[in-house]
Amino acid sequence: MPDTQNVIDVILTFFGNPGWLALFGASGVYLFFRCHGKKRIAFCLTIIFLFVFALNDLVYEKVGELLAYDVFYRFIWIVPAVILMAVGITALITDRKNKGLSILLFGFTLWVFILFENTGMHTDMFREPANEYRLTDAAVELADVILEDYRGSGKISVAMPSQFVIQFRIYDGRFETAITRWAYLGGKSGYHGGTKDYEHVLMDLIYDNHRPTAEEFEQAAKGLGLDYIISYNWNMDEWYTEMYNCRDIYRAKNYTVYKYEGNDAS
Amino acid sequence: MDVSLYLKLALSVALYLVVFGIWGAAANRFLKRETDIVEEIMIGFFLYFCFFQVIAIPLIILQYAFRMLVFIWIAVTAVVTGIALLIISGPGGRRRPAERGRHRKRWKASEVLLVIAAAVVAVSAFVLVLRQEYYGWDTGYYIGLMNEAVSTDTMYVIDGNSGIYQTELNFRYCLSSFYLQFTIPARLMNIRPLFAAFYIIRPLGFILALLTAVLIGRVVLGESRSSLAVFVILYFLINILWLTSYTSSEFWLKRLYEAKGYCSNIILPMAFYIFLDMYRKPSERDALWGELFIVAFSSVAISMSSLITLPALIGIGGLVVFILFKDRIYTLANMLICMAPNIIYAVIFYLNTIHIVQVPVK
Repeated sequence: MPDTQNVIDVILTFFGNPGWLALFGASGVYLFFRCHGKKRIAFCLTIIFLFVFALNDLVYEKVGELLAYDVFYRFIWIVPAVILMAVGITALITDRKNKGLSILLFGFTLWVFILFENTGMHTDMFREPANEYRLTDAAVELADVILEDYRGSGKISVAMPSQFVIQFRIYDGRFETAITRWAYLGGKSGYHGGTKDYEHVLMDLIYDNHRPTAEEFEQAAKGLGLDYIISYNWNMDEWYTEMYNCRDIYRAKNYTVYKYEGNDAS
Repeated sequence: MDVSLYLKLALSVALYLVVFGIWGAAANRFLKRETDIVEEIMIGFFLYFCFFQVIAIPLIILQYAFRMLVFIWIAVTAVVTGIALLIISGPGGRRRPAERGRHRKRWKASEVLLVIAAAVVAVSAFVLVLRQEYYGWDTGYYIGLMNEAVSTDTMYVIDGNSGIYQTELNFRYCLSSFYLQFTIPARLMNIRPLFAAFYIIRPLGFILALLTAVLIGRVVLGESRSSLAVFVILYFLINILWLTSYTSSEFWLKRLYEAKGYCSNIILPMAFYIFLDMYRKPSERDALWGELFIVAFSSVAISMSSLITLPALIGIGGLVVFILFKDRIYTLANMLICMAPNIIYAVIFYLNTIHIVQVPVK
């Protein structure tokens, strides 16, 4: 959760459009007045204890120190906000004796929902998936090419642009990513034993940030047990085949798959 | 499109629900609680993961092969289901609630229309959820883990994101057996685990989340068909329209194949429901504390996100019961018993983060 300094920030960021927070509050108020006796006391006590023991800056700081500030918002899940909003609004609508008024309230509720909606509704949410795997066609295409080409028996180490890493790992467990999540996210190497530079050598190469020497590339490739590298078509095609001991095995619309010939296992 | 694959996946979901229902009915017989099929399925789901966690965790820590877990779990499921069937078919049978008013009332035209509308909205929401294609690093990790279990027969020794062998077990993930459970049907049906994630975990989560919502809705709104139909419609609309990166609705719509989705939409709301029922039916507190313990014991098995959120909820709800009702020592004791599993897990997790408890990968 970006740039939150305290619990109020967390709550406001969590709800997004303040209209939803208002709607949640209004549902809560209606439910409060709807219940009686011990239930009303229980309602008040729950809110008080929620803020005293969970949703306060002291707990926020402790959770941030022990775990991460990014996970604190999960405490808000203690209150099932979606369900309570639905229950509160339903009660408001169906408690009315006048059915016409109920229908009007329902219509008004729908209008309010549309006014506050922060889905960023877009056609992507409704479109037919590209394939049965729910992955991009490019990822499936490139993964299948490598699976068909590979002759070894162990894991297949592939260096690739970040958009394929997750997809390849979801698609088939035989893939091993030469560049790990942490390197992509700007952190340290995912590998142990001081191979930080090797991942970044390959990452810089794929994204054309820096062209390693042949020796630097070979060290990185052998150090990571590289089998294949996927690069963008606009990115120094001939360098791979002439300098880096790679062979062009497949060219897709925007990407090329190179096999690293320096690894005997594949 | 391979129709037989989708049929197998749909049958898997149906089979899970049947098993949950049988186990839940037996549990409620044991707890002497009168409930209906909705609550039986929910309690059965949590009880199922209680048992699974007890079997899976030692095998994970000792780094046995995944197939060992598969064999043992199939045997355990068969035995426990058999025992549960014997229990519920025995004298007394399933404990059913007293005759409800709704069974005597005839359906009105408006109720029929509303229920049909709710069903249409539910099916539409279901199709929408199945169409979503979100996959972040967390998704890649979890499904990667499932892939490793199938392709290398290992459990948690290989990093889910990268496919690289780790030097030690990562307690941030390996204390939860959730994904291994759903890798079992993938292994048995010889299908890619990603299909199990998209078409077993997600639909099951959808149904269980809806059942949990209905349980809470019934406590507040009563048994009115029209009220519940309106509630279901609004529940789905809010889930679809209110999305930030953090809401339970975001996880419901796009990430219901992640354990966090189960935490925010099923585990925590179910515990919330149990406390609501405690305020409503104080005479059933014994049984409800029993149900809460089942939920708590299984919570980390399902989602590590419940590690500290659930004890916080139990503490808050329990304190309210403590103040409102007599038998305060009894309430305090039950509260602590229900919090105990997560506290123990939290201590183990903390000791792992400060390198006191570590399990090297063989």
